[in-house]
Amino acid sequence: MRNKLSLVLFCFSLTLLAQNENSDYKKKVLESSEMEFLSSYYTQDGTHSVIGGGIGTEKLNDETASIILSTPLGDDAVLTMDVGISAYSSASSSNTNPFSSTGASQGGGEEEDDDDDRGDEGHGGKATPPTGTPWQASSGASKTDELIYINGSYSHSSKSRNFIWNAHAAVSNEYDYTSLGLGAGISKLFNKKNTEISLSASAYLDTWRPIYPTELHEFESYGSNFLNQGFFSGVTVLDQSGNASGAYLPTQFSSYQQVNRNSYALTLGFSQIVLKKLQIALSADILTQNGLLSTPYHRIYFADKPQYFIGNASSIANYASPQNKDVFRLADDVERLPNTRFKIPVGVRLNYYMNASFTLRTFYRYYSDDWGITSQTVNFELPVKLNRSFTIAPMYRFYTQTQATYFAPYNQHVSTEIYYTSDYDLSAFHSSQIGGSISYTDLFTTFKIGSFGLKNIDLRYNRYTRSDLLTANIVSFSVKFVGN
Amino acid sequence: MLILFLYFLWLTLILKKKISFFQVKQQVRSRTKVYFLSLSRFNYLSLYPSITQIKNRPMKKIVLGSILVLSSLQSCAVVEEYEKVYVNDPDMVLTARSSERFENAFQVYREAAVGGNGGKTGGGCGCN
Repeated sequence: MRNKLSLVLFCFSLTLLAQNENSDYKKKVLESSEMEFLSSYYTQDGTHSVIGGGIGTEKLNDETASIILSTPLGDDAVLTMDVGISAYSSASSSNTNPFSSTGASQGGGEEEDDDDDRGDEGHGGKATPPTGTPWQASSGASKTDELIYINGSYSHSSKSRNFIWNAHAAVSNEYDYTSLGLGAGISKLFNKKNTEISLSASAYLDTWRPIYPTELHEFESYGSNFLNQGFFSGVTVLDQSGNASGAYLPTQFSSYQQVNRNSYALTLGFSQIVLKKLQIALSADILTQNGLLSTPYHRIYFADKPQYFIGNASSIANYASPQNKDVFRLADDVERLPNTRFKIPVGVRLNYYMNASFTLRTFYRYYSDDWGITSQTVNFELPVKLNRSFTIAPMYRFYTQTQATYFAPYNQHVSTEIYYTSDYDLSAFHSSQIGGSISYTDLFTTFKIGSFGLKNIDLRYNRYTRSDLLTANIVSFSVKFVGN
Repeated sequence: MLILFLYFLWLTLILKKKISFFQVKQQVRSRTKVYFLSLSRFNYLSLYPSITQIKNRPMKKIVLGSILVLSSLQSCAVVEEYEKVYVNDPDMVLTARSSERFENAFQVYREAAVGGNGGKTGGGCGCN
């Protein structure tokens, strides 16, 4: 089988090399520099916060801005720089430390704190005991963060424009995570540029700086006597009946030994002009990840362990209800997921030019991984040209996935399991996204800023609803200029 | 077009079959483990045909089918450069638009699936 496959691939590669290269006509790959400004505003809310072990608010706002600058290098090459910043405020992740007053992890050097009224002294003697709830944001340090990224890529085309190679590098950083990426790829066009085959590979070498939930961080710092030290000094821990207890001991927890996460991708692409008005693209990836694939501040609550709380004893009965405003359950552990993952997505795009006004853009993807998830995605977009300058495009996307083997909702895992998570992003659900865009194209680049003329403006809005009641809205805006 | 449609329909069915690549991988691993534990070449040989059958069936179909379809596409009528006015329309581009990148980013965060669209396939924790 292997020999036959090798023979077929060898013959196929010969046909690629045998294509005639048409070098009569030569045009710059990119005629002039292009500059694109992009920004977005994203907001979401839901009731299955992973920081709360599967319950709590998922409120999150994210604002992003980026600039993409593409410059021709000679006739055959293009250098592209992409720089961006994403600033988010998250009610969910702020609840790494959900408590309203002293948290030892704030002053303990593990987590920066932007609240001046917090310290690392014990709570003893303070008038107001700490409270918290998974249903509201705390004002903890992790409430806000910024992701900064820089991507650079270089692509070079052969004189005939039938062969392209490219390389890219990427760096991104946020408070507890750094990512370094490298990649390269080749593309070959043949059959009078009706057919293109591409192959690319990339590697992302990421590093966590783990932040653990406050109660687990204290346990790790002070050991079995942690209830009398640091954050817990003077703080009353309640049992499920609301009585003071000194029995809370999350022995299942230990900090992760591994902090690296490596992702490798091999992508095979194929595109074909099928008819004058129809073209299709197929993209298949082989993705593998290893290292720390869990998120350090995702709480887990075990069904077979006693429950302990901090806050108002009378609210314990309503803990899982949004009515709970002042009690927070202490974690038994953080999520534990395998340190390898293997994914295979296969995607197909099919675009059809219906007439001068309508174009149909479609996308389908099948995805499978070895965590037990399979998913399917279907996307339709129907750009409608209103005139030479304006296009509107309604769009709809449907997504469905099966549940990961390691997922269970709040308080349904048991402590004898090896792997566990209550992250609803890994649960079984389906989602719908509906929206549209409006684009303006300035054919003659009449509006100018300096030596750059406006090429197009694009405004998009989409509303996303998930079957587990998560909802999200996103507005994106882009404006592109070309150099004269 | 019909061939293409049937191909992708068939590819989806193949991928949805109960015997996935991962199950094959696990089966090969577990059986290889048996072999090493028993230290018997006989056991391995007796297992080998069944492993080969399971391992090769879906892959063989996919590889042969892909070659067949790629060959059939070669025989599509070639669209000349001067006839590409429709496929060169900006709305016909076969990649996601740059303004879609933020939607793709949040979808990667909120859903398990990634890739298959020629876009970013790694990097970043996606944890918020």
